[in-house]
Amino acid sequence: MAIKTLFVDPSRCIGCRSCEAACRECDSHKGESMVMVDFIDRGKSVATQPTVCMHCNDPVAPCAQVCPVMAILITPEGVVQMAEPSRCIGCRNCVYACPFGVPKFDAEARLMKKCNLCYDRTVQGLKPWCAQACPTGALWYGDYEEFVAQRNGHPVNRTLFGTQQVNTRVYHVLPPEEPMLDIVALLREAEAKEAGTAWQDQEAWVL
Amino acid sequence: MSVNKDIFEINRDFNYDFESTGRTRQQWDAKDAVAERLVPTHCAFCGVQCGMNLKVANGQVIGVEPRDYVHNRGNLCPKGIVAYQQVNHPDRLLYPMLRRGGKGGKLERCTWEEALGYITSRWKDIQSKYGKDAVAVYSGSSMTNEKCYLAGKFARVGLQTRHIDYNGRLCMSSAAGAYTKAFGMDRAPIPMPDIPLADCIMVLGANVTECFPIVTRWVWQGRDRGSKLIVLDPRETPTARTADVWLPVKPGTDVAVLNAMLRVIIHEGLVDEAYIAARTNNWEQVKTMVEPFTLERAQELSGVPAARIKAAALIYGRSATSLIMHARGIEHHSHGVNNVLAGINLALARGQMGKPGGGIMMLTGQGNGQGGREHGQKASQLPGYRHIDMPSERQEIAEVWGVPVDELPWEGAAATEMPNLMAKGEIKSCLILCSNLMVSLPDNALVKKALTALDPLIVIDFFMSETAELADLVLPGSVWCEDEGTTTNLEGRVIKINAAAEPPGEARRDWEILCDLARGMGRGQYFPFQSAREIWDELRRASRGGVADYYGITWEKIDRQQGVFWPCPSLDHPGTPRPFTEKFYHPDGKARFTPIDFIPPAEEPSPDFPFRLTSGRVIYHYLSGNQTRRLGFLNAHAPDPWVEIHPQAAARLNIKDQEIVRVRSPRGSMELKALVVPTIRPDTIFIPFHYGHAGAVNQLTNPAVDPTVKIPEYKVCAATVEKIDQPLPVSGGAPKINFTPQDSPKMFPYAVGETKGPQEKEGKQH
Amino acid sequence: MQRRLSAGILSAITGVVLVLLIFLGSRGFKDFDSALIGYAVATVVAFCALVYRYTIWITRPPTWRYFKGGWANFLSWKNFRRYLTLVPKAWWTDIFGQTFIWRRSKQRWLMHICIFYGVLISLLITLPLTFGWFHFTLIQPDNYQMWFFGLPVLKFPIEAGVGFSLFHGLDFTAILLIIGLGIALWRRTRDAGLLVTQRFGFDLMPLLLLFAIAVTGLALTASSLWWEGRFYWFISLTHQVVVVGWLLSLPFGKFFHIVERPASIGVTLYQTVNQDVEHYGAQPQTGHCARCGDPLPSPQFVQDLVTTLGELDMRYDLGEEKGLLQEYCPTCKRVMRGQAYYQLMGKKFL
Repeated sequence: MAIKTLFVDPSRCIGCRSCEAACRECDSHKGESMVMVDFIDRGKSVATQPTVCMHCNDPVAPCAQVCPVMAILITPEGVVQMAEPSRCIGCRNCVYACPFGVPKFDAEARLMKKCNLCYDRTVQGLKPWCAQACPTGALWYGDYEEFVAQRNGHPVNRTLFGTQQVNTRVYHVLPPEEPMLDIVALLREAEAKEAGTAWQDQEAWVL
Repeated sequence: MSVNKDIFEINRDFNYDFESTGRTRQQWDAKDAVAERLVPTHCAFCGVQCGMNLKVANGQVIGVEPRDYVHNRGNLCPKGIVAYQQVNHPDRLLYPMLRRGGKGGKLERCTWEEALGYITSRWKDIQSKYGKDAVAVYSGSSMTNEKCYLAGKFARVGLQTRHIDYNGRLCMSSAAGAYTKAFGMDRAPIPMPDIPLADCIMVLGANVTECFPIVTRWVWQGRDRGSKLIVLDPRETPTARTADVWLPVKPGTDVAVLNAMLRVIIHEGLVDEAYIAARTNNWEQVKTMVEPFTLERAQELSGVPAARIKAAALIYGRSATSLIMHARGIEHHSHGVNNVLAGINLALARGQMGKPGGGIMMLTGQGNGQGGREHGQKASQLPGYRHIDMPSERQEIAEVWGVPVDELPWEGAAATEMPNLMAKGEIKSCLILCSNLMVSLPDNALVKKALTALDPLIVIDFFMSETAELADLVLPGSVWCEDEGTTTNLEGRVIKINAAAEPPGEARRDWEILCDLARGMGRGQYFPFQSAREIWDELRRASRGGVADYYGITWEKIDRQQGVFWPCPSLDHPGTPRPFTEKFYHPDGKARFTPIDFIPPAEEPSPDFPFRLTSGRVIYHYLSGNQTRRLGFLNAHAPDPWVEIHPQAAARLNIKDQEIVRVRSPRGSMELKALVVPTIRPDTIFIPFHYGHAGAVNQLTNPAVDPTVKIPEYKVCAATVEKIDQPLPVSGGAPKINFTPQDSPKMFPYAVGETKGPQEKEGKQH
Repeated sequence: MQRRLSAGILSAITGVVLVLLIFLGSRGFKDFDSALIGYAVATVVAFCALVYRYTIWITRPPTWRYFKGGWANFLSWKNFRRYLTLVPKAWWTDIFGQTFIWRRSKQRWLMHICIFYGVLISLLITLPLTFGWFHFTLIQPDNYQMWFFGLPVLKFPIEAGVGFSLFHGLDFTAILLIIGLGIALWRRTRDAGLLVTQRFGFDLMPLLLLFAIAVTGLALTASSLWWEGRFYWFISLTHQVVVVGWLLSLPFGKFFHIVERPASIGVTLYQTVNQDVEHYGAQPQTGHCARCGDPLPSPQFVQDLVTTLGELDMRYDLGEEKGLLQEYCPTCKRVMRGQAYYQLMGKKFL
């Protein structure tokens, strides 16, 4: 059976935070969302992006590797679980090691929490709450073949952070022909573009 | 648009969620229990009415689970997900409260007996002194069809007053009026799952993504197929951001753009002549009317670049199937009916109405916005979309109700006219249910004056709303999942709401309260209802033969078919998902074009008030926010209103992002946070409308209303923005006034029976 | 391999030392109660396994870094004054008071405190007994003499409070355990979240074992007090089997966190001291996110983390002007990824 996983397509995201609200309903971390929706820059656009745990598989879960107490377990299917509460000592290694900015941290409770791909729902054959609720398909759950059959765009599970490439279980949806999400190169492009055009200097775009 | 949590959250790595939930940890812990059963029902918020399952344990609603319903397929927006948290909310009203010391006194707990006795004795007193019409009912659409129907019957039979109207007046009455005028029936042409069939989706004044997130599902699905998206909106909303063409229109000038588009379509030879000839009337007048709307003129009037208008017209005109969706953005205007009619003209000229996936579709905002406007809680209307001034229709309903037809009151004042009558003292007392006037009506200084003049003001609500705070008597009602009944969603699909819990404390179901009040008024024989189902059965009979015919819709059929579309005239009828495929509902079976000229909004900017102020919804809140502002997750993301202003305008005024500024209009001023964003026109400012007291944008809005349906002009008035410590000089200049409430024809009182006769019926039936 | 070898050696040494101590403490096995030999052997094996596993664990790069960092901070004279308050506080919040569990949930805290003290006190009583370190002799007519490590320490009357509480100490802890385990098992059968995520072997088995220990332990008392010794042999065998099972599972299951947990004190020291102005002198060196300026734990923390990642063959170098990814706060990491994505996508819709 093909592997079921999440596909993240921020271009469709409308910033409604359904995923966040839905995530909070999970019985295993009531009242707290493990999904984060961020504005990219509200001062420029309403564009938003949902972030779920990408469940890195190469290198395997940096968060788990840097955990001093081995509190973060990885299931045989490659799903990176949230910290085992009896072990987590609240050192924050995982929070800062994670290249995607996923783990949440409660200092007083000495506990890190993160998305575990709705282990409780997926074992019952249900979709993770976030993908279930998402009205736009910005978070989509299923297998690769199914995705390609239904949707446009090119699912990519490689992200390059400067010198480090990370392969993940969860996919980003990119335009066709893009081999990976090269963060630094794209950020440089964005900065170069911005340097030339401050909006204040632009002509009014409406008449 | 919601605010960026990054702006407001300081401890970003910290788990802020618990702090912002509004529920204590114990309340969340109550959710630990395993659900005993799932109650299938629908969401309390917005006209989409998504299917959901409520988790119930020990008689308490403890959570929500997705429900694979035909129009939302298990999707939910954040409001839907947290809706269940209203049920055990600590702010719930649990017992009646009476202002024993009179005005100025405090609301004190009282018994139901005392409360009902107080109301009936005061009402009898008032009605005997000042006449039956001195007591009014102001109802709402966010409740079941059964309750809406009962509210209308209660006013006309229980109180025998002509003054009953509802908050749908403020919502989409202009669209309802326009649809009735053009098609003879006020209903959506297609169910939502048909949306992806459209090759072009044009969204007029609707922030679909924020206000109807689940409709986005179908729009996005259409785009996966390759449909084009055109968006007409002064703001670059998440809907507009990725649109193929965004038409950044100046608020109040939509007709200029729509007429210019129609002109392009005519000149390019893209009109569907055969369809027009076979299925419509009045085309030639429209053709003549739009001829002067050249692209240049439209650009000048609307501020939308001519090239964009042309591009939009060509995409729309060349698409084989095209769907227009519209909402409050074009409806909340002093010419709201015209705006919608201009859209209808486009759809008819392209021969779209009646095509699968094509046509024009209104996105009704309120939970039961569609059903609530069909069954006689409107000033001019009787159940089944009948008109109260039509003798034959009066007769039919009088028979169902078993009252002499002469006892039935005539048309009363519209919701927007009621405050004037209250302030003048013509209405002495009012029962308000399912409405929060202090937030929702324009120019709320006048509304406050009107409400405080009432003695007594009686409010039924389940939270202490800004309006209930002014009441002399507050009665605790039930939230949606404490009662059963039906609602009709924006598709015209009648669906079933199921009860998952009992009302808490001494709170009661609203229909029980109304029945008790009717008994107190000595009219109990007309209100023998023991269950919502009995009301439903009477509603079905009352609507039989009307335009909105519910006769064949039984609760069992709703469960069996996943909803039934009206009209459904007989028990073996499956319902009508696509009512316009064969015919329209005027006597000749044809649709009507209406020539629409451009009329500017009632108030326009002047040097002292240089901006156009527009108001609207945000994703996290619903209507007046009385419910959603109490739900932690939602409120945490948008706890206070803000004003969106373009960086160029902000730079001119030296206003920084997040600075507290003062916004002034000729009616008042308010202070709020500035959100400096380039996603709005530089000549326009936006304030969300869900907030009360000092946060209410309706301190500023213009009470001018549409001349036919009396919908207020929430979407445009003149305003100015200034720094708190540097007020701008006031030269005493007024905004440019094009139109005032006094100028408009036919404000109440109407001559009794003045609209008798079928020709007038359609004009009045809105 | 190296780590395993040293862990094996350490664990062997532990075994030898422990047996030696038993020999000495029981005065050459004179005081050793041969009926308890099963417990003693299992305890020695469990100890060796614990040391083995502990060594393996502590020498993992991230753990080792904290271990070293914690001790280096601790052994610095400069910090000593701070520790007078910091260390006791950390012991209270992390070990004895467990206030962090209070924050997670109050019910859970009560449950955990019961089990924690139940287990801890039981071990404090039983280990010396099984090793023969504790030893009682009857002084006629009605006094007991308690011996520890072959030395007489306490003399007390049979019926008085001390005697009663000493002999029934294990009954009290058993009751404590039963309360805690009752809450735990109730939670684990009622809480919807736990129901689907718990694993039998890891989460339930240890609880059931402990429960069986407490119940059979109480039954032993009951047998001798009220049942005139009936079933005693059977109950005692069952008790022994369960206890041995629990001891042997200690290093591999959930209860390994008993020995892991004190590490959080080291972490607390490390985190606090590294943010401490005093430690760094006049210039406070709290770290800041390279993009938004929000506080990060500390420069040393980031540095150590980067080194740890390096040892695990990872390096997130974003180039000269951007620095390392670990120098950004989580939100900025997400936002930067979003910016990159939207540079690619613009306002396109896929």
